[in-house]
Amino acid sequence: MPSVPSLMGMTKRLLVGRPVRSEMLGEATLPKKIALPVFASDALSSVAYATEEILLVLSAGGLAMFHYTWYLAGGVALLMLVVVASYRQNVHAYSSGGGDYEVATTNLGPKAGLTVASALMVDYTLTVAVSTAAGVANLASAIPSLNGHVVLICVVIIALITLLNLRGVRESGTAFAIPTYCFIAAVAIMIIWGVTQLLIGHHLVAESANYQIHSTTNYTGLALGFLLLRAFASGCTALTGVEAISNGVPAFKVPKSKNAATTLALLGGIAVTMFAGVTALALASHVHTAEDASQLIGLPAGDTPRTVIAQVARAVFGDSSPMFYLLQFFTALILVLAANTAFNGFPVLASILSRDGYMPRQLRNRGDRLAYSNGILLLSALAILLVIAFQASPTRLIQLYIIGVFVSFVCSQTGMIRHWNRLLREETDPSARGRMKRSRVINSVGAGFTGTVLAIVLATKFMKGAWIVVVAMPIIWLVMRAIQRHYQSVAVELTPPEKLRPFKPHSNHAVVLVSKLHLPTLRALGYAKATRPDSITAVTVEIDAEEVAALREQWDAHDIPVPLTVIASPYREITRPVVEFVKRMRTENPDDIVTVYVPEYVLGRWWEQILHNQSALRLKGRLLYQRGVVVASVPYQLRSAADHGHSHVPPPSAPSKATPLQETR
Amino acid sequence: MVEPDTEAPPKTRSAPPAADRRAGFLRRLINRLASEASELDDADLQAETSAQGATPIASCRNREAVCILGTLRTVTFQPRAGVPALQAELWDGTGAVTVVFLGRRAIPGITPGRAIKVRGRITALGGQRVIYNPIYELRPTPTD
Repeated sequence: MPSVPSLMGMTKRLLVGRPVRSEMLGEATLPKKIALPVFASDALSSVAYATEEILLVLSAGGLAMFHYTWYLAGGVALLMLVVVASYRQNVHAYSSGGGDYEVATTNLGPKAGLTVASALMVDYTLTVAVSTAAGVANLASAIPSLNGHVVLICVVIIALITLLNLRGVRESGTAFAIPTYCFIAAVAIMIIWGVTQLLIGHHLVAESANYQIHSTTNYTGLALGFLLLRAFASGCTALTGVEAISNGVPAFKVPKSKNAATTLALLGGIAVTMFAGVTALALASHVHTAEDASQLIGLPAGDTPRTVIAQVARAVFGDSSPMFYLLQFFTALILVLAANTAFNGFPVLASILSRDGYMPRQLRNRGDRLAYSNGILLLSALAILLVIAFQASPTRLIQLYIIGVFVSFVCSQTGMIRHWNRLLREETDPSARGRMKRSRVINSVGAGFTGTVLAIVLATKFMKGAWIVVVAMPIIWLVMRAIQRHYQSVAVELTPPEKLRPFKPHSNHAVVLVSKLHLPTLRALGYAKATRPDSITAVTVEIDAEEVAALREQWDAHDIPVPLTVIASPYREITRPVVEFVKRMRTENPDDIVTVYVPEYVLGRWWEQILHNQSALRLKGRLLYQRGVVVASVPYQLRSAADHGHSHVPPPSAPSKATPLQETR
Repeated sequence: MVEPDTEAPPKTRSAPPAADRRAGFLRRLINRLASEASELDDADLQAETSAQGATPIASCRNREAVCILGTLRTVTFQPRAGVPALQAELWDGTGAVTVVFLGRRAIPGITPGRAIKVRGRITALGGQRVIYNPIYELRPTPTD
């Protein structure tokens, strides 16, 4: 007979799809042309808001500060090239997908590896939150009426991305490649068109070009230097996402390292070009923006200023041109898809951490569709929490963003330096040595730069919200260490000694719990006798003397060949007298096992289950903590369970009085 | 049924001196609040034992004829097909002894929770203390 499908099963099949067999895992790898958009969308999308972040910080000093933007943007672009070059070394040397975590653990020790892991986890969660918030901000730039509902839209978008990821890598890869390429194309068109206009001699004017900024403080000397460093640190958000490829090397088609390195190089080139182009156009069209919208003099009251990339697009294409709306749409889309990059990195990292014992076991294996479902769900829950807590404000979220990334940069680059040192100690071939020395130089430069930037970021952003990350990362570190310690101590405790002998108790005493003489009791008695115990007794608790008297009469009438022990319960409890009785049995016979048979009703509907089995469940819970006591549930399936269950089982026929207990010995 | 030849000397609790009584009041109050119900019951049973002049089980010597006062914690009825014997576990706050009535399937009054006083010779069987076929006296329940 066919089984009755459940509503939940059908919904899951509709949303997530049919389960995939493990042999299909090979099909889940990506060719370069799809891997580039999947992994690079984070890095490319951060270009969309990096320029804005620099300008926002500089605005604190007034309009005059904006001319420093060139130098800061140049510094950021240089840093990005250095980091990309360093990571190409990573990708060749460590291609198993552990990425930064593996580099740090192998070369710097498990504690450093755990630091990188906690930094990356914070970073991935923030990637999802920041990208979604920025994407919705860009959408609201195109459609200003959405400004009141940003949190709700963010949550819905995160849920949609989660669903797409639960369906499996291959499908989400193709779905996400097209918008990324469209974004790249749209920005390229904007840059080329803008540059052409400038070359022709046509001035570009942004809508905020006439706004003045009301600045209260005068920045000179040290304060000016600090402000510039803060702006540089904000601009470094353009680098986030570069580590995604090194963490996701197993997703590439064979040869994995070479494809990953090529994709990294492409990513670096495209990102730097786009960043430089957008910054140049922003400065050429005199985009004015401020961190606090009330400081912009000239902005109509109640309006939210548009994002920088939106203003540049309006300046280049014209106010209501379709290209403007297209670009905004693609920008919003790629920002949302950048969140997807985190969904590719976090579950893989969680699985590796779980393999090493730092995270719970549930995160270890792939789910129904060959994606790490539990990791995906965990990430989406954390990201939604962050979005709600920070009210989907990208600027506030970005303050937390960069630290995790740069901690992981510094650790992995330092780890790579030690890696090359270790290999150079044993390598004799001169050309290989030359290659290794070159790689070591690149990694050293990378480590130096990123270390400096990390110090700058920590110093400048601490009070603005970075302290949350500084507090959160050690907490995550400690929690993971505690989990690993726990798993290790349990493993040590469970290891059998050298001479492995099976455990055999001296005797087995059976105790059958009885309340009434009915079919479940008879079944439990029969089953207990079938296990041939050394002694058997039925036990009931006297709460009502008449009921016990009736039970004894029935016991004699049915001729049940098992002694019946009635326990006194002066305080009308059921659990405690039975537990004390079992304890006394164990104390008298310490080498023996006491098996307690508890009849259990199995019911089909959830509400029926509340009405039965409550004392049996309490008893089982208490007895679990007694040594040498085994609790066996003897189930009795009622008709509602048979109807509701997965297979159609005919209801058990009522046994005759003496049948279940006929003595066979 | 053998009559006990000696009675154990009655143990009486000397009243604590007045100063101790005052100092111990707080301690006794806290003990009453913090103890489990079973501990309080045990204390009551021990008080009853010494009031009646019976022997606490913990201080009974093997094969001694004793008089024991306590409550029946469990009563085990043998099946019809087996040897007729009624077993009950008697607890008096200091220890437990199994009381076995051979040849009887059920005795009216021997029910779980009942307070009884038994006289008999206490022995040990397989590590457990047993009294066979004692003279028993049902103690009055509060509802009698």
